[in-house]
Amino acid sequence: MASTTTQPESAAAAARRRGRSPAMVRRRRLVDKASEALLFSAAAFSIVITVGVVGILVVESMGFFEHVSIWDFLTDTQWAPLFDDARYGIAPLIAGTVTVTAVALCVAIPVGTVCAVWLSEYSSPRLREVLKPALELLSAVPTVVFGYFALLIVTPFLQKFMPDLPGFNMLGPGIVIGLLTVPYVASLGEDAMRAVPTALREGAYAMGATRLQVALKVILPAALSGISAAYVLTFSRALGETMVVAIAAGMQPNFTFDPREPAATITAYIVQVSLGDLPHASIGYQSIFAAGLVLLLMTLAFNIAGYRLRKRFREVY
Amino acid sequence: MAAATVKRASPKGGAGGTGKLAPSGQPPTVAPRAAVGTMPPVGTNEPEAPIKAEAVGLRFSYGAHEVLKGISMPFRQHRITALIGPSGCGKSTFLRCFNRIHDLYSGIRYGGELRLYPDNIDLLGRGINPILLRLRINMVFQKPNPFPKSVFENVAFGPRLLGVKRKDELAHEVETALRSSALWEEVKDRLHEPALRLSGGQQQRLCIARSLAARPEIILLDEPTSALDPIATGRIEDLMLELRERITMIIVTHNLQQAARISDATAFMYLGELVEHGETSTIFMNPTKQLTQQYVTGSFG
Amino acid sequence: MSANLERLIRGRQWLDAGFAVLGAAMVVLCLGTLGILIADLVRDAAPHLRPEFLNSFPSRRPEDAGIKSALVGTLLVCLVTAVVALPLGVAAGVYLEEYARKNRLTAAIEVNIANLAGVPSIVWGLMALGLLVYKLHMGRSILTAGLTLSFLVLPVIIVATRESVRAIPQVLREGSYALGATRWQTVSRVVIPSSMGGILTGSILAMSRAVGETAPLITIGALSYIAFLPPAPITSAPPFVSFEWLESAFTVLPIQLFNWVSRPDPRFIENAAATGVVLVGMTLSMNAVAIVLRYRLRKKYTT
Repeated sequence: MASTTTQPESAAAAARRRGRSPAMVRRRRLVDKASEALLFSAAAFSIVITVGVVGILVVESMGFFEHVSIWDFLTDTQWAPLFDDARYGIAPLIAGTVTVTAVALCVAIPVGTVCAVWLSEYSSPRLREVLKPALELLSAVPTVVFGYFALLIVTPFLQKFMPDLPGFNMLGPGIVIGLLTVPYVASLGEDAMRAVPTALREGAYAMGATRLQVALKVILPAALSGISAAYVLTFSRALGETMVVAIAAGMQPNFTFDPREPAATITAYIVQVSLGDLPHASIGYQSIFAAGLVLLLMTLAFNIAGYRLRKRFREVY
Repeated sequence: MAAATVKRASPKGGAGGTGKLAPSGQPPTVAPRAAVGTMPPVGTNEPEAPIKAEAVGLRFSYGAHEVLKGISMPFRQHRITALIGPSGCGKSTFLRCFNRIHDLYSGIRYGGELRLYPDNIDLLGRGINPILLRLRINMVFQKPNPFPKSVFENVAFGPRLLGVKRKDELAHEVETALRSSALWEEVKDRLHEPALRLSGGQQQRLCIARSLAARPEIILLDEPTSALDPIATGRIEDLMLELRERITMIIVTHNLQQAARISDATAFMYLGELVEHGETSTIFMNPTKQLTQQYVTGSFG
Repeated sequence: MSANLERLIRGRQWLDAGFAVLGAAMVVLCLGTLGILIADLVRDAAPHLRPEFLNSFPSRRPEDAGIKSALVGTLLVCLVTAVVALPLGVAAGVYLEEYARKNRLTAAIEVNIANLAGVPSIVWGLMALGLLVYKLHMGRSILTAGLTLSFLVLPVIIVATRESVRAIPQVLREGSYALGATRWQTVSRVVIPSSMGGILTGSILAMSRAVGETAPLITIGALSYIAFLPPAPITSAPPFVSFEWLESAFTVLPIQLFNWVSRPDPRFIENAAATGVVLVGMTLSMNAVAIVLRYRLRKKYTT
């Protein structure tokens, strides 16, 4: 840095002088503006994608609803768009989706919450450091592999206790989806509980509460917002899960809420149609978009409800 | 939730039972000293109160770091004892030994004894159940830490822990505690509002009420006013002086005026050791150690 | 009374101990599931775990079938995904953290990205089928598949970028501005390099997700019987690079697995299991790398 003016100009000094020349300053400003525009367009591209997704679903569904009345779609209890005597009642697919999701949540929420509480309040920091990433690996396994697991391990295992359980059923895949979403609840829930200030924890202990009381009466309520966010995410995942049900639940629409029966979910139906070779713009082709739109709306509705709920439980410590 | 499966027990009641660490029978509302109602000025030469707790060569270390290096001193019943000293001297650590809140963390070690009277037991001993201990000796923290529940539920937390379930009993306990902490008039119409809507000073008095509702024998106060403005601080100090006649209090404070204003006895700590302890007036006016003299006159720390 | 209280507390402490056991059991249950899944996969796959399995095309005869085309397909699709999604996601993340002013538009973009993260993966497949395949005529190609997966993992990369950019201390930026750097110079020479670790971690996780995704590629009609490789990207004649492979039909590992697991012949199940071993091996090792990276990063910041 010690530059003396008497010496001939050094290379660095020359660069500095050029760097300050008006041309360079102008160029830099231009680059600055151009880069900002580029980065902005990357961010704005997400809106283009959204418009693409929603647009194509709506357009193709409109084609579908030109042939099928919305009334039939919502009230008919059979879904058989590919038969000669085609029926277009979405109810069986929704029943399948709801049933599988319900089974999954019955596993994921209790198991996940217990894991979260245990990791946050019971395990030692060092153990947690190892167990949390290990648990997260569970949701890193591709879901198609979980489909294999549901069909070839879990269902045969369940059949030992329920001899009448068919090879394709909603119970096995539901349980497997529950297990694969446990890490969401456990990990995000644990984050939320860890974020509860130590002062609250100590305050409750100092009164003479046991660990369980501190966890359930103070920490859990304080972290409710974060935990409910984890539940919402789990719900979305379970609702949209495709491969596990496509492989292990059978792909036949079946209007039932009995998890022991085989049935198709919205997602499984889309897979089933995609496996065949349907002509573009046929009613069968359009039907998967209508089904997809219903799935998207269900997801969206639940996310909005979850958001509302979460706002009410805002962290208030 | 835990309490739901266990038989109900009343927190109040006679002197039955010789349980090692249950709250001893004396109803806290009865003042043991003769001078009921008249508030003796701080630091007067009244007859010595019985000893409530006593540290005997107390040591505490966190990992390899020894924080308390052998502290011995008594704490008298129904007095306010202030622990003073520069930051890092171990006064908060000392305070936190009394209800074994350190037990929550790993890598800690106690040494020596911390005796509690009249039971004459060692709080740090093996047979001591820290949960039961904390029901008897509880704590008010530096920053108000009301639970994210209603005002009512905050105060009811202690009675519930003691097994009170009936609505009317709970309501009575809550009202009593809120009245004792001079908060009742301010919050009686908003008992079911979230406690976090109260002002900082109110929150801290709520935390004291929460403590009182558990009817403890000793309340530990860890710089309870350091996060509050002078007016709120004044109210807490008044409150402490009122409670003094029925509860033993130990307060850690950075504020020397506060120690002088409210405490009966003062202990000065430095680098994990007890330099000097005695009547507050003696410590402030006429200390025996030069270090104490320097600290209370503000030449260091 | 105090005896009662003692009994009450004892009861609570038993519940507490019970919960400690329950919680540990639940964690073990989940890890055990993962263990059983892997063990079973490996057991079923044992007869096929040979080098030839990786180097053969699918076949009608299960004992000869392999995953050469699926492996190549997965790698190429992921290449497209990485090339599209990484720059796009990092750019969007940096914009939102470093440039975006608080206005309606940026708020809309943020909400939008949060919502995109919640779109079920099969819906991405429908978008690809309707829009990319039929409206934009990209065909059932590697390009279509790569783009589809890019959109799917985009939110993951954006969120990871934002988090690591946010974690950079403000003093670093101020230091750069104080030397007279423009915003772009600060972003490109200070912000992005210092948040590279976090971005990398997020990107690896995003790619691992892309490797395992099945549903959206089934929807665009990725065939599962592909007994050829896409045209090579490097050619002998000038200009020596070719992008023909982008338009090629393809299959990927998860689809190959799905196809085999749906066959009634149990010998194909072994093929499916072997494919599963390769797939799980790939995704878990990517995740392991990300975990180690994240651990190192945190240590760097905390010491």
